[in-house]
Amino acid sequence: MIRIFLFVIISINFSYSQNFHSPENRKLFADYLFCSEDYLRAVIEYEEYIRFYNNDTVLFKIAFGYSKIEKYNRAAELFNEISVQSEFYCSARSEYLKSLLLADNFESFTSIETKEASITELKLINSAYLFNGLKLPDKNRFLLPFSDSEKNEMLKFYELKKEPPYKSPFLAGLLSSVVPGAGKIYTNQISEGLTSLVLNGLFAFLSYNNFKNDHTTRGWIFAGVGAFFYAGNIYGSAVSANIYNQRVDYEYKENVKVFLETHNYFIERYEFCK
Amino acid sequence: MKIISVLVLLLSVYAFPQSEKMKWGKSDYSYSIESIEYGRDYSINFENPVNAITKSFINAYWFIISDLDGNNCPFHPSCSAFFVDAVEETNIVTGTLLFFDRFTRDASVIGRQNRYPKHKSGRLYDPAYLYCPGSAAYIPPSIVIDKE
Repeated sequence: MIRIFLFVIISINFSYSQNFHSPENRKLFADYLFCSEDYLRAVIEYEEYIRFYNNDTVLFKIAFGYSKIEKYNRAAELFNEISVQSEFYCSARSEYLKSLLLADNFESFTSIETKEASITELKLINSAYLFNGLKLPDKNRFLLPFSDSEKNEMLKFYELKKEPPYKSPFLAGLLSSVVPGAGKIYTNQISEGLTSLVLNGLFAFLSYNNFKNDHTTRGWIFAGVGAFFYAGNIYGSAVSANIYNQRVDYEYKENVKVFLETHNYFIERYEFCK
Repeated sequence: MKIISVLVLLLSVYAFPQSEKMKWGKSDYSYSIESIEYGRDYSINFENPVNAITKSFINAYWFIISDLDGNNCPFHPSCSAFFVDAVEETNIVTGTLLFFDRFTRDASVIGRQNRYPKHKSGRLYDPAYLYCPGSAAYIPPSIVIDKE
């Protein structure tokens, strides 16, 4: 009786047993992780699944996962592997370009054919011009793929790229040589400019006052220190203009990135987790 | 069988005893504030005469004045260390000009908290290489610099 009972229990266990590591179960788990935005582990599980089954959706999700975990070069490679026959081909092309943008791989855009590119691809290709060092295309050609709501912002970026509001280091130095601190004020360092004016004025006055009262040694000391402050300010103003220009570049790139981010790089959001 | 069971039970208790002292003993916690001062490099490179001269002056300043007065410069590296770095990265003339420009920045107190990135020590990060020809760079003020 006991033997029969044990046999029944064991048989039931075996009949309901599950292989949690089967490809199907791995995919289910990966889907769950993907929808929980745990892309790193989702990619690992999907990669296990894809060893057994060739599946475009899964390949796309792996590439998308890599993009989400900021491994843009790997994501670009995988998006590029998706075949023309796949239903994800168009999305993969757009995601490929997005990954190149995010990987700061702007040079790759030069070899991309635009003849058969979709609107989204054209938008991304034109956006790359805002980052790379290539000559900007004609304004109308640049703005052509963008919608009316996007055009205003893109035009602003286009013009900033074409004529960035740089400050001239030479002019900054020249201004500071005429009026100490003026070069710094020109580069928006108002507080430093005023401080420089006060310091230079102070040393000039101290030197003049000591010479006037026949304290020539002190007069020369103040004149010497003042001269260093004067020359340092001219040099510092030129450097300040350089740093200002780098700041302009930095803020411009940040603003373009924020704009692209808010527009999801012109790509429609997917509904994998509906 | 019972004896063996009892022995195993007792042995397991003795094998992982927990003394009262270990459990409730006073912990040696240090309440001292972690020092944010960094050790100064007093070494002098005698093979480089410019470095030998400038570093001698700076070492004397550190030893006689700064170490006693305290490292009060709001910047990291301090103005004196900035001078040494600036001379090393450029030359004595440019380094001196950069130093006087730094001095002006040091004297300019209004709004500077928003103009410089922060160093992990809490000071404003303003190293010499950011102002050197060819390596001038902009670091946004929102960044906290973790390196020395």
